[in-house]
Amino acid sequence: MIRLEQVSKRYQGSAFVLANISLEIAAGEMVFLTGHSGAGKSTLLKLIGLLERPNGGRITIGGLDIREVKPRGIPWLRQRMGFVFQDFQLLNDRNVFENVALPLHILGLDERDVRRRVSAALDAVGLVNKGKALPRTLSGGEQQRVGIARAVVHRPAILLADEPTGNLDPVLSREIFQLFSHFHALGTTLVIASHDLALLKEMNQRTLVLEQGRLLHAS
Amino acid sequence: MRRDSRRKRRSRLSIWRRHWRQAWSQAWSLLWEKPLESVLTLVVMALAALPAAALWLAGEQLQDVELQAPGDWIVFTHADSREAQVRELAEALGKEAGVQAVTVLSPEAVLRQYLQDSALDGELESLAEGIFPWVLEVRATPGLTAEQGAQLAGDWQQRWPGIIDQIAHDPAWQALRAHLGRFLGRGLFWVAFFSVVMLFFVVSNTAHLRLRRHQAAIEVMQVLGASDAYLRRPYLLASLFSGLMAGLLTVLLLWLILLSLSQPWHGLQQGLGLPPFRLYLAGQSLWLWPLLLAGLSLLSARVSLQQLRSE
Ligand SMILES: Nc1ncnc2c1ncn2[C@@H]1O[C@H](COP(=O)(O)OP(=O)(O)OP(=O)(O)O)[C@@H](O)[C@H]1O
Ligand SMILES: [Mg+2]
Repeated sequence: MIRLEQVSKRYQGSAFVLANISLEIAAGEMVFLTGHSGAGKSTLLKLIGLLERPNGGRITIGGLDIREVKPRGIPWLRQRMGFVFQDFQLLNDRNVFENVALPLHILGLDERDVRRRVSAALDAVGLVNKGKALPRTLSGGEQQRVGIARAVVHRPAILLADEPTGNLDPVLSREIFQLFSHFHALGTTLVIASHDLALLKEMNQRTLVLEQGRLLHAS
Repeated sequence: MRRDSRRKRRSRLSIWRRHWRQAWSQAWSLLWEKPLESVLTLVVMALAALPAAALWLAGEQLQDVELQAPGDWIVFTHADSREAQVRELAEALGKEAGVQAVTVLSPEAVLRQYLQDSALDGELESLAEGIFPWVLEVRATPGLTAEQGAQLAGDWQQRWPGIIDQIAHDPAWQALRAHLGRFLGRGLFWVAFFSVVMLFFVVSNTAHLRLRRHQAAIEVMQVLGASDAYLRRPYLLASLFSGLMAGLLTVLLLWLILLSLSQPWHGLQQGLGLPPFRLYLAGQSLWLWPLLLAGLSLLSARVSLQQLRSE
Protein backbone atom coordinates (compact mmCIF):
# COMPACT_ATOMS: atom_id res chain seq x y z
CA MET A 1 0.00 0.00 0.00
CA ILE A 2 2.69 2.44 1.03
CA ARG A 3 6.25 1.99 -0.13
CA LEU A 4 9.26 4.24 0.40
CA GLU A 5 12.56 3.62 -1.37
CA GLN A 6 15.68 5.56 -0.38
CA VAL A 7 13.60 8.59 0.48
CA SER A 8 15.31 11.69 1.80
CA LYS A 9 13.98 15.08 2.74
CA ARG A 10 15.48 18.43 3.62
CA TYR A 11 13.61 21.63 4.19
CA GLN A 12 14.82 24.75 2.50
CA GLY A 13 18.02 25.91 4.18
CA SER A 14 18.27 23.02 6.63
CA ALA A 15 20.23 19.78 6.82
CA PHE A 16 18.60 16.48 5.86
CA VAL A 17 15.66 15.74 8.14
CA LEU A 18 15.18 12.26 6.70
CA ALA A 19 17.94 10.25 5.03
CA ASN A 20 17.56 7.10 2.94
CA ILE A 21 14.33 5.85 4.44
CA SER A 22 13.08 2.61 2.95
CA LEU A 23 9.98 0.92 4.26
CA GLU A 24 6.91 -0.89 3.15
CA ILE A 25 3.47 -0.90 4.73
CA ALA A 26 0.98 -3.47 3.54
CA ALA A 27 -2.68 -2.71 2.90
CA GLY A 28 -4.69 -3.00 6.09
CA GLU A 29 -1.64 -2.84 8.30
CA MET A 30 -1.42 -0.74 11.44
CA VAL A 31 2.03 0.73 11.98
CA PHE A 32 3.33 2.97 14.73
CA LEU A 33 6.05 5.52 14.32
CA THR A 34 8.05 6.68 17.29
CA GLY A 35 11.25 8.54 18.11
CA HIS A 36 12.53 11.60 19.90
CA SER A 37 11.23 15.06 19.26
CA GLY A 38 12.71 16.37 16.02
CA ALA A 39 13.50 12.88 14.73
CA GLY A 40 11.35 13.47 11.66
CA LYS A 41 8.09 11.66 12.45
CA SER A 42 5.85 14.49 11.29
CA THR A 43 7.97 14.94 8.19
CA LEU A 44 7.66 11.27 7.27
CA LEU A 45 3.88 11.38 7.68
CA LYS A 46 3.70 14.54 5.59
CA LEU A 47 5.66 12.84 2.82
CA ILE A 48 3.24 9.92 2.81
CA GLY A 49 0.27 12.30 2.97
CA LEU A 50 1.58 14.26 -0.05
CA LEU A 51 1.86 17.39 2.07
CA GLU A 52 5.59 17.58 1.38
CA ARG A 53 7.66 16.43 -1.57
CA PRO A 54 10.76 14.29 -1.07
CA ASN A 55 14.14 15.56 -2.31
CA GLY A 56 15.21 12.10 -3.32
CA GLY A 57 13.95 8.56 -3.57
CA ARG A 58 10.62 7.14 -4.58
CA ILE A 59 7.27 7.01 -2.77
CA THR A 60 4.58 4.68 -4.04
CA ILE A 61 1.02 4.75 -2.72
CA GLY A 62 -1.42 2.11 -3.81
CA GLY A 63 0.93 1.27 -6.65
CA LEU A 64 1.12 4.89 -7.86
CA ASP A 65 4.52 6.54 -8.00
CA ILE A 66 3.67 9.98 -6.65
CA ARG A 67 6.20 11.65 -8.92
CA GLU A 68 4.10 10.49 -11.83
CA VAL A 69 0.80 11.64 -10.39
CA LYS A 70 -0.47 14.65 -12.31
CA PRO A 71 -1.36 17.75 -10.27
CA ARG A 72 -5.03 16.95 -10.76
CA GLY A 73 -4.54 13.51 -9.27
CA ILE A 74 -3.22 14.79 -5.97
CA PRO A 75 -6.63 15.91 -4.62
CA TRP A 76 -7.98 12.53 -5.72
CA LEU A 77 -5.33 10.73 -3.65
CA ARG A 78 -5.80 13.03 -0.67
CA GLN A 79 -9.53 12.34 -0.67
CA ARG A 80 -8.63 8.73 0.01
CA MET A 81 -6.51 9.56 3.03
CA GLY A 82 -7.23 10.97 6.45
CA PHE A 83 -4.73 13.12 8.28
CA VAL A 84 -4.70 13.91 11.99
CA PHE A 85 -2.47 16.93 12.53
CA GLN A 86 -0.25 17.39 15.52
CA ASP A 87 -1.58 20.97 15.70
CA PHE A 88 -5.20 20.07 14.80
CA GLN A 89 -5.56 22.53 11.87
CA LEU A 90 -9.23 23.19 12.51
CA LEU A 91 -11.00 26.09 10.80
CA ASN A 92 -11.87 28.62 13.46
CA ASP A 93 -14.65 30.34 11.55
CA ARG A 94 -16.71 27.16 11.41
CA ASN A 95 -18.22 25.12 14.17
CA VAL A 96 -17.23 21.57 15.04
CA PHE A 97 -19.91 19.99 12.89
CA GLU A 98 -18.87 21.98 9.82
CA ASN A 99 -15.22 21.20 10.41
CA VAL A 100 -15.90 17.49 10.51
CA ALA A 101 -18.20 17.78 7.48
CA LEU A 102 -15.48 19.35 5.30
CA PRO A 103 -14.15 16.14 3.71
CA LEU A 104 -17.71 15.02 2.94
CA HIS A 105 -18.60 18.35 1.34
CA ILE A 106 -15.45 18.12 -0.75
CA LEU A 107 -16.60 14.67 -1.87
CA GLY A 108 -20.00 16.16 -2.70
CA LEU A 109 -22.10 13.90 -0.48
CA ASP A 110 -25.74 14.77 -0.05
CA GLU A 111 -26.73 16.65 3.06
CA ARG A 112 -28.53 13.77 4.75
CA ASP A 113 -25.51 11.47 4.43
CA VAL A 114 -23.29 14.27 5.67
CA ARG A 115 -25.39 14.74 8.80
CA ARG A 116 -25.54 11.03 9.47
CA ARG A 117 -21.82 10.43 9.03
CA VAL A 118 -20.70 13.51 10.96
CA SER A 119 -22.94 12.53 13.87
CA ALA A 120 -21.51 9.04 13.82
CA ALA A 121 -17.92 10.36 13.76
CA LEU A 122 -18.58 12.82 16.58
CA ASP A 123 -20.22 10.05 18.53
CA ALA A 124 -17.17 7.84 18.08
CA VAL A 125 -14.89 10.50 19.59
CA GLY A 126 -17.36 11.40 22.33
CA LEU A 127 -18.26 14.90 21.12
CA VAL A 128 -21.89 14.47 20.10
CA ASN A 129 -23.01 17.52 22.07
CA LYS A 130 -20.27 19.84 20.82
CA GLY A 131 -21.38 20.06 17.19
CA LYS A 132 -22.33 23.73 17.43
CA ALA A 133 -19.25 24.83 19.38
CA LEU A 134 -16.43 26.76 17.76
CA PRO A 135 -13.09 24.94 17.88
CA ARG A 136 -11.51 27.84 19.77
CA THR A 137 -13.84 27.28 22.70
CA LEU A 138 -12.80 23.64 23.13
CA SER A 139 -10.01 22.18 25.24
CA GLY A 140 -6.88 20.84 23.56
CA GLY A 141 -8.07 17.26 23.95
CA GLU A 142 -11.47 18.07 22.50
CA GLN A 143 -9.91 19.82 19.52
CA GLN A 144 -7.70 16.79 19.02
CA ARG A 145 -10.78 14.57 18.89
CA VAL A 146 -12.47 16.89 16.39
CA GLY A 147 -9.36 16.50 14.23
CA ILE A 148 -9.62 12.72 14.53
CA ALA A 149 -13.32 12.76 13.64
CA ARG A 150 -12.55 14.88 10.57
CA ALA A 151 -9.80 12.45 9.53
CA VAL A 152 -12.03 9.38 9.67
CA VAL A 153 -15.44 10.73 8.67
CA HIS A 154 -15.00 9.94 4.97
CA ARG A 155 -13.71 6.39 5.74
CA PRO A 156 -10.31 6.84 4.11
CA ALA A 157 -8.28 3.87 2.92
CA ILE A 158 -5.21 5.29 4.64
CA LEU A 159 -5.24 7.08 7.97
CA LEU A 160 -2.18 9.08 8.98
CA ALA A 161 -2.16 10.36 12.54
CA ASP A 162 0.47 12.67 13.98
CA GLU A 163 0.48 12.36 17.80
CA PRO A 164 -3.27 11.81 17.92
CA THR A 165 -3.21 11.35 21.70
CA GLY A 166 -0.64 14.03 22.50
CA ASN A 167 -3.22 16.12 24.37
CA LEU A 168 -5.35 13.36 25.84
CA ASP A 169 -5.40 11.77 29.26
CA PRO A 170 -4.55 8.04 29.49
CA VAL A 171 -8.17 6.90 29.54
CA LEU A 172 -9.10 8.93 26.47
CA SER A 173 -5.87 7.89 24.76
CA ARG A 174 -6.77 4.28 25.17
CA GLU A 175 -10.26 4.93 23.79
CA ILE A 176 -8.84 6.66 20.75
CA PHE A 177 -6.44 3.80 20.14
CA GLN A 178 -9.33 1.41 20.41
CA LEU A 179 -11.08 3.48 17.77
CA PHE A 180 -8.01 3.11 15.56
CA SER A 181 -8.05 -0.65 16.18
CA HIS A 182 -11.64 -0.64 15.06
CA PHE A 183 -10.66 1.02 11.77
CA HIS A 184 -7.79 -1.43 11.49
CA ALA A 185 -10.29 -4.26 11.82
CA LEU A 186 -12.33 -2.68 9.01
CA GLY A 187 -9.29 -2.85 6.72
CA THR A 188 -7.95 0.70 6.93
CA THR A 189 -4.19 1.15 6.61
CA LEU A 190 -2.96 3.22 9.56
CA VAL A 191 0.32 5.00 10.27
CA ILE A 192 0.36 6.60 13.69
CA ALA A 193 3.15 8.68 15.18
CA SER A 194 3.22 8.51 18.96
CA HIS A 195 5.41 9.06 22.00
CA ASP A 196 3.29 6.90 24.23
CA LEU A 197 5.57 3.88 24.53
CA ALA A 198 3.43 2.12 27.12
CA LEU A 199 0.38 2.31 24.91
CA LEU A 200 2.37 1.18 21.87
CA LYS A 201 3.49 -1.86 23.74
CA GLU A 202 -0.05 -2.59 24.71
CA MET A 203 -1.23 -2.35 21.10
CA ASN A 204 1.36 -4.89 20.04
CA GLN A 205 1.76 -3.79 16.41
CA ARG A 206 4.73 -3.11 14.16
CA THR A 207 6.62 -0.07 15.41
CA LEU A 208 9.10 1.98 13.40
CA VAL A 209 11.70 3.94 15.34
CA LEU A 210 13.17 7.10 13.86
CA GLU A 211 16.35 8.61 15.19
CA GLN A 212 17.78 11.75 13.67
CA GLY A 213 16.22 11.08 10.35
CA ARG A 214 17.16 7.41 10.11
CA LEU A 215 15.03 4.34 10.52
CA LEU A 216 16.49 2.36 13.41
CA HIS A 217 14.70 -0.93 13.41
CA ALA A 218 11.33 -2.41 12.94
CA SER A 219 9.87 -4.51 15.70
CA MET B 1 -24.08 -3.09 -16.07
CA ARG B 2 -25.87 -0.30 -17.88
CA ARG B 3 -27.95 0.58 -14.88
CA ASP B 4 -24.76 0.72 -12.87
CA SER B 5 -23.09 3.20 -15.19
CA ARG B 6 -26.24 5.26 -15.35
CA ARG B 7 -26.37 5.43 -11.58
CA LYS B 8 -22.75 6.45 -11.53
CA ARG B 9 -23.40 9.19 -14.06
CA ARG B 10 -26.39 10.43 -12.09
CA SER B 11 -24.39 10.52 -8.90
CA ARG B 12 -21.60 12.44 -10.61
CA LEU B 13 -24.18 14.96 -11.77
CA SER B 14 -25.57 15.35 -8.28
CA ILE B 15 -22.05 15.77 -6.87
CA TRP B 16 -21.48 18.47 -9.44
CA ARG B 17 -24.75 20.15 -8.49
CA ARG B 18 -23.91 20.02 -4.77
CA HIS B 19 -20.48 21.47 -5.42
CA TRP B 20 -22.04 24.37 -7.30
CA ARG B 21 -24.57 24.97 -4.55
CA GLN B 22 -21.77 25.04 -1.99
CA ALA B 23 -19.78 27.40 -4.18
CA TRP B 24 -22.70 29.84 -4.47
CA SER B 25 -23.32 29.91 -0.77
CA GLN B 26 -19.61 30.40 -0.11
CA ALA B 27 -19.45 33.15 -2.73
CA TRP B 28 -22.38 34.80 -1.02
CA SER B 29 -20.64 34.74 2.34
CA LEU B 30 -17.47 36.08 0.69
CA LEU B 31 -19.48 39.04 -0.60
CA TRP B 32 -21.02 39.71 2.79
CA GLU B 33 -18.06 39.12 5.10
CA LYS B 34 -16.79 42.65 4.33
CA PRO B 35 -19.81 44.48 2.89
CA LEU B 36 -18.01 47.81 2.66
CA GLU B 37 -15.16 46.28 0.67
CA SER B 38 -17.63 44.62 -1.70
CA VAL B 39 -19.64 47.78 -2.22
CA LEU B 40 -16.52 49.85 -2.75
CA THR B 41 -15.27 47.37 -5.33
CA LEU B 42 -18.59 47.54 -7.09
CA VAL B 43 -18.64 51.33 -7.18
CA VAL B 44 -15.07 51.64 -8.43
CA MET B 45 -15.79 49.06 -11.12
CA ALA B 46 -18.86 51.00 -12.22
CA LEU B 47 -16.92 54.28 -12.28
CA ALA B 48 -14.17 52.65 -14.32
CA ALA B 49 -16.69 51.39 -16.84
CA LEU B 50 -18.79 54.55 -17.02
CA PRO B 51 -16.66 56.60 -19.48
CA ALA B 52 -16.42 53.67 -21.87
CA ALA B 53 -20.15 53.05 -21.66
CA ALA B 54 -20.87 56.74 -22.23
CA LEU B 55 -18.64 56.85 -25.29
CA TRP B 56 -20.25 53.68 -26.56
CA LEU B 57 -23.65 55.26 -26.25
CA ALA B 58 -22.39 58.43 -27.96
CA GLY B 59 -21.29 56.29 -30.88
CA GLU B 60 -24.75 54.82 -31.14
CA GLN B 61 -26.34 58.26 -31.02
CA LEU B 62 -23.97 59.33 -33.77
CA GLN B 63 -25.29 56.55 -35.93
CA ASP B 64 -28.68 58.07 -35.34
CA VAL B 65 -27.33 61.39 -36.57
CA GLU B 66 -25.99 59.64 -39.64
CA LEU B 67 -29.31 58.04 -40.37
CA GLN B 68 -30.83 61.50 -40.44
CA ALA B 69 -28.24 62.79 -42.86
CA PRO B 70 -28.91 62.77 -46.61
CA GLY B 71 -27.06 60.28 -48.75
CA ASP B 72 -23.38 60.56 -49.42
CA TRP B 73 -24.23 60.59 -53.10
CA ILE B 74 -27.35 62.18 -54.54
CA VAL B 75 -28.03 60.61 -57.93
CA PHE B 76 -30.22 62.74 -60.24
CA THR B 77 -31.77 60.80 -63.08
CA HIS B 78 -32.73 62.27 -66.43
CA ALA B 79 -36.08 64.01 -66.40
CA ASP B 80 -37.58 61.45 -68.77
CA SER B 81 -36.55 58.35 -66.77
CA ARG B 82 -39.33 55.97 -65.91
CA GLU B 83 -39.94 54.59 -62.45
CA ALA B 84 -39.13 50.98 -63.40
CA GLN B 85 -35.76 52.03 -64.80
CA VAL B 86 -34.98 54.02 -61.68
CA ARG B 87 -35.88 51.15 -59.36
CA GLU B 88 -33.69 48.84 -61.41
CA LEU B 89 -30.81 51.29 -61.05
CA ALA B 90 -31.44 51.53 -57.32
CA GLU B 91 -31.21 47.77 -57.03
CA ALA B 92 -28.01 47.65 -59.06
CA LEU B 93 -26.41 50.41 -57.00
CA GLY B 94 -27.44 48.67 -53.81
CA LYS B 95 -25.25 45.74 -54.80
CA GLU B 96 -22.20 47.92 -55.51
CA ALA B 97 -19.18 47.73 -53.23
CA GLY B 98 -19.04 50.73 -50.90
CA VAL B 99 -22.80 51.20 -50.87
CA GLN B 100 -24.72 50.65 -47.67
CA ALA B 101 -28.22 51.71 -48.63
CA VAL B 102 -30.18 53.32 -51.45
CA THR B 103 -33.34 55.37 -50.99
CA VAL B 104 -35.57 56.14 -53.97
CA LEU B 105 -37.27 59.55 -54.00
CA SER B 106 -40.11 60.17 -56.43
CA PRO B 107 -40.38 63.60 -58.09
CA GLU B 108 -43.23 64.41 -55.69
CA ALA B 109 -41.10 63.50 -52.69
CA VAL B 110 -38.25 65.59 -54.01
CA LEU B 111 -40.60 68.47 -54.54
CA ARG B 112 -41.96 68.17 -51.03
CA GLN B 113 -38.47 68.15 -49.61
CA TYR B 114 -37.46 71.11 -51.72
CA LEU B 115 -40.45 73.10 -50.58
CA GLN B 116 -39.74 72.21 -47.01
CA ASP B 117 -36.07 73.13 -47.25
CA SER B 118 -36.70 76.41 -49.01
CA ALA B 119 -39.67 77.20 -46.77
CA LEU B 120 -41.75 78.17 -49.78
CA ASP B 121 -45.44 78.52 -49.48
CA GLY B 122 -47.83 75.91 -50.74
CA GLU B 123 -48.98 78.46 -53.26
CA LEU B 124 -45.82 78.05 -55.24
CA GLU B 125 -46.30 74.34 -55.40
CA SER B 126 -47.85 74.37 -58.80
CA LEU B 127 -45.04 76.48 -60.10
CA ALA B 128 -42.40 73.92 -59.19
CA GLU B 129 -44.40 70.94 -60.32
CA GLY B 130 -42.91 68.91 -63.13
CA ILE B 131 -39.36 70.21 -62.88
CA PHE B 132 -37.95 67.49 -60.57
CA PRO B 133 -36.67 64.06 -61.69
CA TRP B 134 -36.48 60.81 -59.78
CA VAL B 135 -33.63 61.00 -57.27
CA LEU B 136 -31.62 58.30 -55.46
CA GLU B 137 -30.02 58.94 -52.10
CA VAL B 138 -27.12 56.55 -51.78
CA ARG B 139 -25.38 56.02 -48.43
CA ALA B 140 -21.75 54.84 -48.33
CA THR B 141 -20.50 52.09 -46.07
CA PRO B 142 -18.65 53.55 -43.08
CA GLY B 143 -14.94 54.04 -43.61
CA LEU B 144 -15.13 54.85 -47.31
CA THR B 145 -12.80 57.75 -48.04
CA ALA B 146 -13.87 60.86 -49.92
CA GLU B 147 -11.56 60.02 -52.84
CA GLN B 148 -13.04 56.56 -53.19
CA GLY B 149 -16.48 58.15 -53.09
CA ALA B 150 -15.66 60.51 -55.96
CA GLN B 151 -14.18 57.70 -57.99
CA LEU B 152 -17.24 55.53 -57.57
CA ALA B 153 -19.50 58.40 -58.63
CA GLY B 154 -17.52 58.85 -61.85
CA ASP B 155 -17.62 55.15 -62.45
CA TRP B 156 -21.40 54.91 -62.13
CA GLN B 157 -21.94 57.87 -64.36
CA GLN B 158 -19.98 56.11 -67.09
CA ARG B 159 -21.83 52.83 -66.66
CA TRP B 160 -25.39 54.17 -66.67
CA PRO B 161 -25.23 57.29 -68.87
CA GLY B 162 -28.78 56.64 -70.13
CA ILE B 163 -30.36 57.10 -66.70
CA ILE B 164 -27.93 59.07 -64.55
CA ASP B 165 -27.93 62.74 -65.30
CA GLN B 166 -25.51 63.79 -62.60
CA ILE B 167 -24.27 62.77 -59.18
CA ALA B 168 -23.90 65.24 -56.37
CA HIS B 169 -21.20 64.08 -54.06
CA ASP B 170 -20.27 65.95 -50.92
CA PRO B 171 -16.72 64.86 -50.05
CA ALA B 172 -16.53 67.26 -47.11
CA TRP B 173 -19.41 65.61 -45.31
CA GLN B 174 -18.09 62.17 -46.03
CA ALA B 175 -14.59 63.01 -44.87
CA LEU B 176 -15.97 64.57 -41.72
CA ARG B 177 -17.98 61.48 -41.07
CA ALA B 178 -15.00 59.22 -41.57
CA HIS B 179 -12.84 61.34 -39.26
CA LEU B 180 -15.52 61.46 -36.63
CA GLY B 181 -15.95 57.72 -36.82
CA ARG B 182 -12.25 57.15 -36.45
CA PHE B 183 -11.98 59.69 -33.65
CA LEU B 184 -14.75 58.02 -31.69
CA GLY B 185 -13.39 54.58 -32.44
CA ARG B 186 -9.92 55.41 -31.16
CA GLY B 187 -11.29 57.36 -28.24
CA LEU B 188 -13.40 54.42 -27.30
CA PHE B 189 -10.41 52.13 -27.64
CA TRP B 190 -8.27 54.15 -25.22
CA VAL B 191 -11.02 54.75 -22.73
CA ALA B 192 -11.97 51.09 -22.84
CA PHE B 193 -8.32 50.10 -22.49
CA PHE B 194 -7.90 52.11 -19.29
CA SER B 195 -11.25 50.90 -18.02
CA VAL B 196 -10.15 47.31 -18.46
CA VAL B 197 -6.80 47.95 -16.75
CA MET B 198 -8.51 49.63 -13.83
CA LEU B 199 -11.12 46.91 -13.64
CA PHE B 200 -8.43 44.28 -13.59
CA PHE B 201 -6.62 45.94 -10.69
CA VAL B 202 -9.75 46.42 -8.64
CA VAL B 203 -11.05 42.90 -9.21
CA SER B 204 -7.75 41.15 -8.66
CA ASN B 205 -7.01 43.25 -5.58
CA THR B 206 -10.32 42.29 -4.01
CA ALA B 207 -9.88 38.64 -4.95
CA HIS B 208 -6.40 38.72 -3.40
CA LEU B 209 -7.62 40.27 -0.16
CA ARG B 210 -10.31 37.62 0.12
CA LEU B 211 -7.87 34.85 -0.68
CA ARG B 212 -5.39 36.17 1.88
CA ARG B 213 -8.07 36.21 4.58
CA HIS B 214 -8.84 32.55 3.90
CA GLN B 215 -5.29 31.36 3.26
CA ALA B 216 -5.17 29.04 6.27
CA ALA B 217 -8.56 27.52 5.50
CA ILE B 218 -7.57 26.98 1.88
CA GLU B 219 -4.43 25.13 2.89
CA VAL B 220 -6.42 22.86 5.19
CA MET B 221 -8.99 22.20 2.47
CA GLN B 222 -6.20 21.33 0.05
CA VAL B 223 -4.93 18.76 2.51
CA LEU B 224 -8.44 17.34 2.79
CA GLY B 225 -8.46 16.79 -0.96
CA ALA B 226 -10.12 19.92 -2.34
CA SER B 227 -9.11 20.53 -5.94
CA ASP B 228 -7.93 23.94 -7.11
CA ALA B 229 -11.06 24.34 -9.21
CA TYR B 230 -13.22 23.62 -6.16
CA LEU B 231 -11.34 26.14 -4.04
CA ARG B 232 -11.33 28.80 -6.73
CA ARG B 233 -14.99 28.58 -7.63
CA PRO B 234 -16.46 30.73 -4.79
CA TYR B 235 -13.96 33.51 -5.54
CA LEU B 236 -14.76 33.40 -9.24
CA LEU B 237 -18.48 33.44 -8.57
CA ALA B 238 -18.13 36.36 -6.17
CA SER B 239 -16.24 38.29 -8.87
CA LEU B 240 -18.78 37.34 -11.50
CA PHE B 241 -21.58 38.59 -9.32
CA SER B 242 -19.86 41.90 -8.51
CA GLY B 243 -19.18 42.38 -12.22
CA LEU B 244 -22.84 41.89 -13.01
CA MET B 245 -23.89 44.31 -10.28
CA ALA B 246 -21.26 46.85 -11.33
CA GLY B 247 -22.57 46.64 -14.91
CA LEU B 248 -26.13 47.29 -13.77
CA LEU B 249 -24.90 50.19 -11.69
CA THR B 250 -23.09 51.59 -14.73
CA VAL B 251 -26.24 51.47 -16.84
CA LEU B 252 -28.28 53.02 -14.05
CA LEU B 253 -25.79 55.87 -13.56
CA LEU B 254 -25.63 56.48 -17.29
CA TRP B 255 -29.38 56.56 -17.52
CA LEU B 256 -29.60 59.12 -14.72
CA ILE B 257 -26.92 61.28 -16.37
CA LEU B 258 -28.66 61.13 -19.72
CA LEU B 259 -31.99 61.94 -18.11
CA SER B 260 -30.51 65.09 -16.62
CA LEU B 261 -28.93 66.01 -19.99
CA SER B 262 -31.99 65.43 -22.12
CA GLN B 263 -33.75 68.64 -21.07
CA PRO B 264 -31.01 71.10 -22.10
CA TRP B 265 -30.36 69.10 -25.26
CA HIS B 266 -33.98 69.50 -26.21
CA GLY B 267 -33.53 73.27 -26.08
CA LEU B 268 -30.35 73.13 -28.11
CA GLN B 269 -31.93 70.83 -30.64
CA GLN B 270 -34.71 73.27 -31.45
CA GLY B 271 -32.39 76.25 -31.73
CA LEU B 272 -29.63 74.63 -33.73
CA GLY B 273 -31.52 72.07 -35.73
CA LEU B 274 -29.75 69.14 -34.11
CA PRO B 275 -31.19 65.66 -34.26
CA PRO B 276 -33.43 64.73 -31.35
CA PHE B 277 -31.80 63.22 -28.33
CA ARG B 278 -33.43 59.94 -27.67
CA LEU B 279 -33.28 58.51 -24.22
CA TYR B 280 -33.86 54.95 -25.06
CA LEU B 281 -31.88 52.19 -23.49
CA ALA B 282 -34.17 49.27 -23.96
CA GLY B 283 -33.07 47.15 -26.88
CA GLN B 284 -29.73 48.90 -26.88
CA SER B 285 -26.44 47.10 -26.78
CA LEU B 286 -25.85 49.01 -23.54
CA TRP B 287 -27.74 46.25 -21.80
CA LEU B 288 -24.89 43.99 -22.72
CA TRP B 289 -22.77 46.06 -20.37
CA PRO B 290 -23.51 44.04 -17.20
CA LEU B 291 -22.65 40.84 -19.07
CA LEU B 292 -19.47 42.37 -20.45
CA LEU B 293 -18.41 43.58 -17.01
CA ALA B 294 -19.25 40.24 -15.44
CA GLY B 295 -17.12 38.49 -18.06
CA LEU B 296 -14.20 40.86 -17.60
CA SER B 297 -14.42 40.55 -13.86
CA LEU B 298 -14.48 36.77 -14.05
CA LEU B 299 -11.47 36.80 -16.33
CA SER B 300 -9.50 39.16 -14.09
CA ALA B 301 -10.26 37.05 -11.03
CA ARG B 302 -9.27 33.92 -12.90
CA VAL B 303 -5.94 35.45 -13.89
CA SER B 304 -5.23 36.74 -10.40
CA LEU B 305 -6.14 33.41 -8.78
CA GLN B 306 -3.63 31.59 -10.95
CA GLN B 307 -1.30 31.43 -7.95
CA LEU B 308 -3.75 29.21 -6.09
CA ARG B 309 -2.03 25.97 -6.88
CA SER B 310 -1.16 22.98 -4.80
CA GLU B 311 2.61 23.28 -4.78
N1 LIG C 1 8.71 23.41 7.66
C1 LIG C 1 9.95 23.20 8.15
N2 LIG C 1 10.96 23.97 7.77
C2 LIG C 1 12.21 23.76 8.25
N3 LIG C 1 12.51 22.79 9.09
C3 LIG C 1 11.53 21.97 9.52
C4 LIG C 1 10.19 22.14 9.06
N4 LIG C 1 9.43 21.17 9.64
C5 LIG C 1 10.25 20.47 10.41
N5 LIG C 1 11.51 20.92 10.35
C6 LIG C 1 12.66 20.36 11.03
O1 LIG C 1 12.73 19.00 10.72
C7 LIG C 1 13.10 18.26 11.84
C8 LIG C 1 12.13 17.14 12.04
O2 LIG C 1 10.87 17.72 12.34
P1 LIG C 1 9.57 16.85 12.58
O3 LIG C 1 8.45 17.81 12.85
O4 LIG C 1 9.43 15.90 11.50
O5 LIG C 1 9.96 16.09 13.93
P2 LIG C 1 9.05 15.18 14.86
O6 LIG C 1 9.70 13.88 14.94
O7 LIG C 1 7.64 15.21 14.38
O8 LIG C 1 9.13 15.93 16.25
P3 LIG C 1 8.02 16.09 17.39
O9 LIG C 1 7.97 14.81 18.13
O10 LIG C 1 8.52 17.22 18.24
O11 LIG C 1 6.75 16.43 16.70
C9 LIG C 1 13.19 19.23 13.00
O12 LIG C 1 14.56 19.48 13.24
C10 LIG C 1 12.50 20.46 12.50
O13 LIG C 1 13.17 21.59 12.99
MG1 LIG D 1 5.89 15.95 15.02
